[in-house]
Amino acid sequence: MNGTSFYKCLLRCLSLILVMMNSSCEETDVCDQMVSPRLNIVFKDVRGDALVLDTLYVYRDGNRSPEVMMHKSDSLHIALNADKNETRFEFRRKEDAPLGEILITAKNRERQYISIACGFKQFYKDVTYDQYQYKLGEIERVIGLQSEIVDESSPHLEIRWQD
Amino acid sequence: MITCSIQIFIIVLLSFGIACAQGEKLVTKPSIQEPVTMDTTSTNSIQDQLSMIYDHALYVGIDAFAPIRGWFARKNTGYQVVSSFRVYKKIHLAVEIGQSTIVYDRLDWKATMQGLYYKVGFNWSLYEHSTDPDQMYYLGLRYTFSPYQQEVKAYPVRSFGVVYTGGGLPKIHLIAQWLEPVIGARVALFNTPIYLDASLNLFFLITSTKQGGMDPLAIPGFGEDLDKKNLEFKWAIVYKIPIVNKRR
Repeated sequence: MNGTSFYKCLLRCLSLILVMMNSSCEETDVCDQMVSPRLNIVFKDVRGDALVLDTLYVYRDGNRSPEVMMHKSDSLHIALNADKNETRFEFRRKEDAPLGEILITAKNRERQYISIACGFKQFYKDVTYDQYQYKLGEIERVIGLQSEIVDESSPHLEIRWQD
Repeated sequence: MITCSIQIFIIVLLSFGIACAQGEKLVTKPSIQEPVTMDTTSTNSIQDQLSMIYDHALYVGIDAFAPIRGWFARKNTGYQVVSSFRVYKKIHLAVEIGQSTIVYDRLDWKATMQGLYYKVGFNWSLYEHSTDPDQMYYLGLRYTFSPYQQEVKAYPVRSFGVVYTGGGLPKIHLIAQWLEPVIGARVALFNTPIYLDASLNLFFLITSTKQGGMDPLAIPGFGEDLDKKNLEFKWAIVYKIPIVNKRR
């Protein structure tokens, strides 16, 4: 094999490397799938009709800063704690006026593997909803609609507000 | 890191090309059609050169890049022993054994994988140096089998905007298999029986057993799982041990 054919051979090798490289090195570091389902809450009036709240502040587990500041909406999606069975949410129509709390307790939590990037997602089963009212007359009733939180497609909890 | 490895590999490959081309200019190729009017010494010399083409030798060495990579990365440590043997004119049988420990600490996972891997396959020489066929460019293929141990110490549980760390999973034995197309070059160092063997190995995972349906985070010998494909730059120092001298 002379020098010319040697370099032709070398070029073929390098071309092959480039082709093979093109099919490699696709990193999978981005999580693009649904993670743990959130609690889906709908707001209704005493008659059971959809109610659009002007403002609502939601505080988690006694935190001083609100987790959610909602404006003009009739529903809310909020994540539950993944590391413990209980999650406590406090609701306020005004920042300095606590109305009441809802304690959500999941007796069973199940984890399902999704992918390396996403890790695991968590499902909540045997869920109970307990209401603690501070100020009478604002939250009329809390109705648990589902005892399992495995997706967000339909509401899990209904809060009925006084008009 | 991968881009850097490829650049180094291409530079090494080009260096081999220049070295081989220069070697060819210095050595006149022996011709068997020349009239037989030479003295005994020169005839023996030609015969020696021709016989080299059919030398059978075992090449044994280590991947010199593995400890360097481990020293820099400190999360993927191990070693690899390589060997090859010419079984036919252009076909070399290759057997390699390695050990690797990978500390996986990414994407909120904390895990350790540890185990051996065994490779068997062949190299097909594309181009050989005219007087020293042990210096060559080659294409190859490897089948690799890796039984290893995985211990997940922490895993992520993702909620919206929050990542919780789940507890560990039990230590488990897993098995992975993959194929490796190889492209490489081997060149003698300073006219000694020591050779530098540089290659680019592409990994394509065939199968792997799973822990609770989980994809393998990393596999010893394969590296961190990149969509079931990966690549490795190997830079082995090998020693030639002549075994059979089969003359034409």
